Amino acid sequence: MSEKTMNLTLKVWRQEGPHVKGRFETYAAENISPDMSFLEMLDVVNTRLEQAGEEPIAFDSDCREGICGTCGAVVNGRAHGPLSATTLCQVHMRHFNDGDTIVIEPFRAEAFPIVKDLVVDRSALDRIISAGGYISVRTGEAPEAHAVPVSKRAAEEAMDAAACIGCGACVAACPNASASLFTAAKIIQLAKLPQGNIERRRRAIAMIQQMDKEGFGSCSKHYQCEAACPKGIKVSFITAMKSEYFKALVSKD
Amino acid sequence: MSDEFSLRNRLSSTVVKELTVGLTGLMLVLFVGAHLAGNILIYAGPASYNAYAAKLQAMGPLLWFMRLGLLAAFVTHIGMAINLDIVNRQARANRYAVNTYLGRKTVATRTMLASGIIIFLFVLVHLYDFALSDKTGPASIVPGANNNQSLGLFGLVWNSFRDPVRVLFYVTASCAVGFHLSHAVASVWVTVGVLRDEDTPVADLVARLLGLAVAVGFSSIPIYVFVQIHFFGGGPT
Repeated sequence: MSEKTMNLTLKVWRQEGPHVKGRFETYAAENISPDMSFLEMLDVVNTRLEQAGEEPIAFDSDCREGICGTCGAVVNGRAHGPLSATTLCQVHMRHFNDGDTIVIEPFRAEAFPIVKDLVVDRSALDRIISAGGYISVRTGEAPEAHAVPVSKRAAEEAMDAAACIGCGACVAACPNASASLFTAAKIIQLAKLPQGNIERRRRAIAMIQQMDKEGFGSCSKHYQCEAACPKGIKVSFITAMKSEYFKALVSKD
Repeated sequence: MSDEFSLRNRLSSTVVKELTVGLTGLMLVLFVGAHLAGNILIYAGPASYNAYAAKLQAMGPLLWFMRLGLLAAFVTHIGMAINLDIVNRQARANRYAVNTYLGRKTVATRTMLASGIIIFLFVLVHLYDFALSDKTGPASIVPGANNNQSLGLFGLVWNSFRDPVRVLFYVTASCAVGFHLSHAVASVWVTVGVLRDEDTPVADLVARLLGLAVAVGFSSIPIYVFVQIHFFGGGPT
């Protein structure tokens, strides 16, 4: 390996626990390969911190393939870093320049309490799912494909919504820390399809009430969520979610 | 049916609060449009302008019905917007050290609160200036015009914009209304739940054009009067 390496300065949010005051610490990330992912770069920094007897930087990650929704931090003011439609684990260091200073902060929202450093508690999103993001009717065995007609548009919208990995970047990027995009995706992926259609009214009410209860803000259409979403979920799902809610308000179900 | 699904709970969600802001906002947009259409008659001269004002006054109870409706929309719009703003500020109490703004909406979106405050203050001043002022007294006499007799509301408006500070304030407020609308009209369709993704560029364009029309339309009036007075010798044409 004789390729060029990079030297970076990291300003990382360090916070020992949920109720402790946090602060930025500066670290040198030296001899970083441009082929490393952002998280691998943090791994290297952590190894060196451990060797020096210091506490490593806590951050979440799991699949490191961009599909699990576990990783995420705000890098230079952008949730998941500088690339659009990309999770932080899929951002490689070649997208930074040698000598850069990189500011790394956790996803900030009152509904996402900081556990430690860059790790935040996103169980508020799980509770929104628990409130109604499922199907409880028995749908039986898989029917013959043509027996349940689904329009092309509905199928595509459901699939687009289902691309949400629940990472919380929409909340992190929203100036109001609103979970509207997440909640919308989870409501619409079910509402558009026949199996989810049955409970759609109850679901919309229950999930949106839970969203409010968790202390997320409201949507003021800054479109920051759409820009931050690693899966390209569109604000038009929020429009669809509102429509679901208003129909549910006047529904007898 | 658990209590969570009570009508009261369903109606108190942020989604309904946003809807309230959106619908009252749309009512206010309709008023702004009608107000501009009426005000633009200033270019047609004192007779047409005052005739329009007289026609409005002659509406009697209907006028008061509209005024109260407008007041209700105004108060509800501001109240709900403040309510949501408090919730939103609480939701993100901790700010980022670095902010990168990526959304396709920019200045107008970020300054909704500021433009809203300017508009609110402007409405108070504006009501004092014209609605509550004497429209037949000395302030409505334009020197050298109409044999130095009162020119009614037209005269009052005309004399008001002799003052460059007031002109500047009115132009600023008109631009604030245009700015406020350019975000509001683009985003209200999301709030009420009717816009498809492919329609958003059209909505954005319509909102921007509307905002521009409102800003230019209202600003033109004080500027026109000011220029007439100070550069073309004063009297209404």
